[in-house]
Amino acid sequence: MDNKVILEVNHLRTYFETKSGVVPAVDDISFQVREKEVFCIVGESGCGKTVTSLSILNLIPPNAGKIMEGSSVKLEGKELTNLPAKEMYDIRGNDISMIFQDPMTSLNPVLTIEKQLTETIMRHMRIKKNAARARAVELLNKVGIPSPEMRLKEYPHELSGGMRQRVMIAMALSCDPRILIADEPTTALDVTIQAQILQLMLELKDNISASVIMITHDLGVVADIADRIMVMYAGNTMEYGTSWQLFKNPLHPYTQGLLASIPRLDKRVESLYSIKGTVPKLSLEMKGCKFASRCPYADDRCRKEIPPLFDLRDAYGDGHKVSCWRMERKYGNDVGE
Amino acid sequence: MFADKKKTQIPKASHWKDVVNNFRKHKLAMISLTILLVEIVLLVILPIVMDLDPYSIQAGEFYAAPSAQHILGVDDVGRDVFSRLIYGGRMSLLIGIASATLAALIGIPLGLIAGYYENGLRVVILRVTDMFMSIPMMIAAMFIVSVVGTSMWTVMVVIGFLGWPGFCRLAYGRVLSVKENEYVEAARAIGTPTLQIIVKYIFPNSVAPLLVAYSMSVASSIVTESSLSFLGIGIQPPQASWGNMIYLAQSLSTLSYRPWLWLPASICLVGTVLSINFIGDGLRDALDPKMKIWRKEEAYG
Amino acid sequence: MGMMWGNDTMTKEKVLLNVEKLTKVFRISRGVHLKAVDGVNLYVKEGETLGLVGESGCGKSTLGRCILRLIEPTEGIVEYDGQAITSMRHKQLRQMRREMQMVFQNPYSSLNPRMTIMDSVKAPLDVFQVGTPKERIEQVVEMMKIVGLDESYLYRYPHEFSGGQRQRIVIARALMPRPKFLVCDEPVSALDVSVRSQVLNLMNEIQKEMGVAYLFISHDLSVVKHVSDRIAVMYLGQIVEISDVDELYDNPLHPYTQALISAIPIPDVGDKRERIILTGDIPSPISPPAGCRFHPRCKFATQRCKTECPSLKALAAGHAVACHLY
Repeated sequence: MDNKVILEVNHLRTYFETKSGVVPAVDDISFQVREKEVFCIVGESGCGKTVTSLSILNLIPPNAGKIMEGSSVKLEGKELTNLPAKEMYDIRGNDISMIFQDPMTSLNPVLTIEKQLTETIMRHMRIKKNAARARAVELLNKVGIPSPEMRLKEYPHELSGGMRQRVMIAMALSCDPRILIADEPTTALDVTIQAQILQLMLELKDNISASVIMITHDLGVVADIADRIMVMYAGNTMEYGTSWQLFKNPLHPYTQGLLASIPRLDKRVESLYSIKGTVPKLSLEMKGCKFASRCPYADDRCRKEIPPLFDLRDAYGDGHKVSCWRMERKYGNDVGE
Repeated sequence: MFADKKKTQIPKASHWKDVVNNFRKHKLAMISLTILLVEIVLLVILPIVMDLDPYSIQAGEFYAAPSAQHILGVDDVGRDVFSRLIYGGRMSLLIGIASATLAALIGIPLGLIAGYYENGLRVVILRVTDMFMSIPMMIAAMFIVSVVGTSMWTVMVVIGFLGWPGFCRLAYGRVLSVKENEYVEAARAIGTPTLQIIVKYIFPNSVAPLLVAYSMSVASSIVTESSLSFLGIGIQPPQASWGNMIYLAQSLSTLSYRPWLWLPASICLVGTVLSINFIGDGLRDALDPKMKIWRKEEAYG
Repeated sequence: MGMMWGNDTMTKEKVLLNVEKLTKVFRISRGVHLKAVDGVNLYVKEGETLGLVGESGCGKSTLGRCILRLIEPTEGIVEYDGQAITSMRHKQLRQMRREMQMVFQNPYSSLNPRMTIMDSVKAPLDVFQVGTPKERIEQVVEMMKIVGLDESYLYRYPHEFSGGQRQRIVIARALMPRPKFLVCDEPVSALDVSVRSQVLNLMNEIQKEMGVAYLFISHDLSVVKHVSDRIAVMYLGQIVEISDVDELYDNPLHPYTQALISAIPIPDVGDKRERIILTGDIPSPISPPAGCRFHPRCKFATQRCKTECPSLKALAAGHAVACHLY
């Protein structure tokens, strides 16, 4: 698991300007994505996971929000936050590509699949039309679309939701990106179709050279596919580690609460655990741990000081990072299960 | 569990308070609103406090240039232009508001009905609307006015009556989308009678674009009245309207050498119509629910 | 008549709602029809929860709305407490609405944005003129306590509330006329995980205290499992399997149910279940396959499955399946 680091995000802060004041949607986030791994960002709506991905791509709408001074996003050593628009445009699609939640809105409804796919390929790989078409067929085959030649002639609305998501994946893979960002790629799909797409992504994982950043709220999906996971809450990192570390030994009260509040097929409980209260409104005035207002263990210190990410070692290895004051005394030591 | 003592003291914000606050931030609309209010106050008060006489003819003084006695001069038959400007303004605004109101009163209920009921009634209403929409407004107005005869009332009724299809179409479209909301289905599920559903659930949620359309309709009715008057079939002299004052500019010598006869009315007309349109723009922005903060935050994902 | 399968002898609770051969056909355009619900039979007992699971387009929401006659069914009978709702006149039906209510999927669109919470929650009482206006207000205040909301919120507007709070308000509104039966159409699927469990627990508590029966419609098998006593699985307008909850998960019989259960990702690592990944897409309900509707995606399909539509057969107490394999 110690592959080369491809993407390095350091102290990323993305703030939004609203009428009720500045909203720190992403507030000091650091993480690394390694070669050929699936890195999952998990969190509920409003936790900043989507903003994080848009910040990586430098796609924050300039009149609404901004990536703050001191933030750094490095792709193979190259700083992206201050890249000129034109160069960034080349990076998007060539080095980093993205899959969105709703494939219907990201495909142009009046163009055939062939047109959209080949144009993307031609633009980014600078090859001729025939070669691009051959590549398109090959890609559709790769993502498990039967009779790709026929499908190329069709319009997006003629495809089912699952097929459209496959086309989106094909399009995202068309230029052999270094990183593939998938924002809730299975949320809009039915359970049996979601299983197909996850299966496809697991197969692709071994066959493509790209690292995947997967953004989702569904811990079940995460467990299926992730190598490493970052749990976000209200714009901060709560916990960070391998999937074994997070699922077998969750240390942050938020992660523990999330896992306990999901009804499970393999267990039956009378009453589900629930995290009390609701997500707080984000503002710069907020002090201390963002989860303190809902945390059963919170004390005065939690409400005043933001806990750092304590780097811990547990039965599942190094690098289990937890942003919780309760971890302070365990800092640097082994923490058992 | 949600009880947070500090939170409960926040004064309850209603939707309309939000709207007023949003509107206030729209500079152009606020300036326009001020201009329009001042104008209305002047039009109402001036005839009372000043001794204005738009009708009597000052013998031998026709085409007189502005002077101390007649600050905007005298028109082709010797009437005081300033007095006529004020009375004409009253007439133009009155016709604008009355016609738009009439159009809205016919069009909106028809649109609501056509939108809510999915039966033959809808088909009939929509076809009639289409028919009316395909009639060229000016020609129809000219035709009717020339048949029925010109008066303030006919002009009002004709403009209003020809203007309703726009409201009907708009209300219809809004209902179609509002109706899809689950709260309408919820209202049916609790047994709410149909009329109440339309009045309490559908209309309040469709009102924003209709309000905007209403302001635009006032503006366009003023223009239509002026056009009719300019063509000589609107408000007839000796009654004054901005339109029939501009009518004088049809004479080339007046257009070139006697601007005091038509310029004030033209400026007032353009200014008023522009103001109303800006107010409409401001309303549209203020009423747009996307302007609300919570929606924005939702979009952060 | 009535329950042709699964005639429970174990439990003696009264059947509250009985649905027979319910069918709904939508006309899409000239000559094109969509059979959203196709001859569905089911019953719900007093105070129990029947989970209704299926993927999008299977007709589960339409079925729920047909039962309440929010959509007029094309054919079939819905009986509530012995009275046939399907043959009721408009006036009678309005009275019935006090007994049967609905909770909707999207908490952001199921409250009128121009009405205060008080007006929205009070609306069912206003419609039926229950008690004096003062009594109605008192009842609303009491209901807010039950669903766990502060009464100071009553004069605010929906946009000031989070999704979870809104869903509590929607539940409060549905409970105001003291119904005995509630259709819940994906009530938690729009909510975040941490809030979802709050609402699910609330619904469980309410059922225990007020004895309401739920028809709980959802695409999420793990949620359905948590709340239901019995579960019906729907595929393309038909019920393919219906069973007590534990029996269904321990011993799923229909190949579709098996695939559905195995497709649910479990939030844990080292889960070594064998996944059944169905091939192909859900066919369009406008032109469903002949015979068993599931046969194009079923690995056990035989010639018979392609021509003959299996009917629901009771195999054990409270467990019925529509499949030629059994």
